[in-house]
Amino acid sequence: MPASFVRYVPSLTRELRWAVPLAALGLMSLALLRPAPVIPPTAFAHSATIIDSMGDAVQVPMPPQGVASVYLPEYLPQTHATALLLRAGSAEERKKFLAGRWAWLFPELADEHYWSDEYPYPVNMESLIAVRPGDLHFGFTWFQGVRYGAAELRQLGVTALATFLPEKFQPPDPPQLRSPKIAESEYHMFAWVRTMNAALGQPEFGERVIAEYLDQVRELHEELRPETIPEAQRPRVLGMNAPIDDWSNVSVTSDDNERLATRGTGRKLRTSGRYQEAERVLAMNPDIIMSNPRDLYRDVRWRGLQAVRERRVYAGHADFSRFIHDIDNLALAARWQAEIFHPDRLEPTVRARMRAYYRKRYGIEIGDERIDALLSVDLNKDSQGYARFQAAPHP
Amino acid sequence: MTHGGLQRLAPYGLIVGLIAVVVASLCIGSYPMSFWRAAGIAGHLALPWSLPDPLPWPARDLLVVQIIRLPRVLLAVFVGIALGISGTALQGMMKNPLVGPDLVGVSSGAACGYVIGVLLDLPPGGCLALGFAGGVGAMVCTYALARLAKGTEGVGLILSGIFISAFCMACVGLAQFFANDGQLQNMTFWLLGSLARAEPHTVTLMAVPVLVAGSILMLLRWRLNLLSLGPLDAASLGVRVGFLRLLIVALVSWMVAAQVAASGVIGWVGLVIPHVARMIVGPDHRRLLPASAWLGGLFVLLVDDVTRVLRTEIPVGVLTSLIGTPFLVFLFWKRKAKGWMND
Repeated sequence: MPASFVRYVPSLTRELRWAVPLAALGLMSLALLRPAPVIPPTAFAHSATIIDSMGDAVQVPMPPQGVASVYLPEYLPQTHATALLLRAGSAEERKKFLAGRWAWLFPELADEHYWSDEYPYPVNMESLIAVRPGDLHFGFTWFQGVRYGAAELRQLGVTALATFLPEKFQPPDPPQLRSPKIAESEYHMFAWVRTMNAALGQPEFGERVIAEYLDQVRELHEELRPETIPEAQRPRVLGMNAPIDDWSNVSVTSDDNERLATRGTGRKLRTSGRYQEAERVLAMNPDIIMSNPRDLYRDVRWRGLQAVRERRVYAGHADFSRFIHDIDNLALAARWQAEIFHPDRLEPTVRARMRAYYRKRYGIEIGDERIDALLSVDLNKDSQGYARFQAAPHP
Repeated sequence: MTHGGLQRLAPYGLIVGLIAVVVASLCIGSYPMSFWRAAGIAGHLALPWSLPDPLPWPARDLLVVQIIRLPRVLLAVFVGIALGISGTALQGMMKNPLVGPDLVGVSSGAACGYVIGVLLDLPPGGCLALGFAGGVGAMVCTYALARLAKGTEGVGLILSGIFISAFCMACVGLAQFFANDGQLQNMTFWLLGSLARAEPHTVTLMAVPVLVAGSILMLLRWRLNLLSLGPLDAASLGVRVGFLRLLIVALVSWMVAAQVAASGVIGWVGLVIPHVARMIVGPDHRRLLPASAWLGGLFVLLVDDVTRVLRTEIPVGVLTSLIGTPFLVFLFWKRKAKGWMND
């Protein structure tokens, strides 16, 4: 090495000291390019192999130990497995969850141990990995806007089962109903019910829940006979979500519904899930609006709407009509809506049906007060024809 | 020890502190792990040969460090380094202590690119790429505008940056207006600045500019000292002032565009860290630039650790602003009394 260069080595070393930490960070970044470690499936003392909705075989412990994560409002009506709810969600979420009908459907949940935060709801991937390996995780999850499917979660050592069918799926069953046609979303819901109940060791319960649902759908179809209702006689229905007092920013939903024999109102507009100016809603001028009637009747700006003038605005209770996978409510809510939309064809039987349903499925008698709450009788009392849904006066 | 001795030793202290906090951060999280196990796994991962077989730790521990924690920790450090170096370089170049890397329009441009990617439902990689392109594009526009106005020095460049920034933020607002609920949530979370989405490809996106542009800026720190004397003095000492300024702005833009694309808008770090570093090691860029880098990395990593410990995933950008603003207000008040306004 030339002496002239050696003379500069100490100063060069000093000059490049900053490079050492950067080089170390660069080396650590290269570590991320290594293949991910493979986590062997957890071995349980007693287990069963479940085929999830995506067709993957997953080992789950039997009897089930707990549920690590699940969409709370849709879990109980499909499984009735209250003991496992202990692990699903944070104490705060469970409290909120029990504010509605679950409080009287599952009074055992009022027990104090359900308020414990011993098993907090996973808020990120790491907290999900930290749960007991035997705890079940149903469906995909989102953390900070990133979606993790069941297969990805299993690679991380979580006992996860897919609950939705693949995007392009073949209907898994021979069509139990020729008419009405089973919707794609219903097949997803059935897959959800089947996977959950199979993993909890009660597959026959899931099948019973699905069969009862299909019975109710079939019965409604036979009574309503939507195929005999001409297009022009089908009411144009618009769903409006809060806040409807914000004139410039109204969230609306409106689609054709063959099963309920209704038409959408905004076929030329991209309506679903979008916020609209109120003037567009006025231009749609639906026959019936599903929203809070008090808000719409009170606000003079909405009086240009035919549905408001004719007082055909109806509200559904959140407990009754909100959740897409609440199989308990879907058939009953469809019946309730059909009875509102087609009073000439259907008698108001939803009260009696609710009472019978809860007696059969939950073994409880629900009184008029609770049915009134679920049907939002007080909120809808000024709407056209809603007196039909009120309880018959006691003798 | 003399003040000068402390100033010389401070960068070493910051490096040791940064390494310790990196390892400590690998232990923080819902999944329990000891300091030494995290250090052992990180050490094995960083070495360029294969991992021991069988593994001396549970595979789940390795997974947590390699897949979940290491990307986030590295991203935090790279983000901090990028912002620290960028802020110091720009403040030195423009002789203005209130200049931050987001003033040249790069942050807004990257934000604009990213939200357009979200609006178009591009995959995450596409949004990152569009964010990066938006940042670089905004910088090019800023510089071109400044050139047109014959004001690439100092204030002219900042004014151009403000104009381009305003335009880009208007585009961000428009994209938010047209977004649906899901897209809007995604945009809002990202615009607040978060490291929660750290993945190997985001770390790579950050690592390349920080290692390359950061190294070049480190090599230029002697010239930054000359540049901070003012353009006439620097030119009389043989510095090609125009070229050097363009080079610095380009390097800073590269890093900041990558930072915003990878982690959203994280404000105030590039403004505050140079001041703190200056208080520790003095104004000499030979020490100031490395110190700002390590201090920036340390600061962002510590703030991110706080969000992870809180388990609520408060966006890092919110916390850095919450901490940075009062600090700068304090500094502004103190320094004004000493005539900082007349610097």
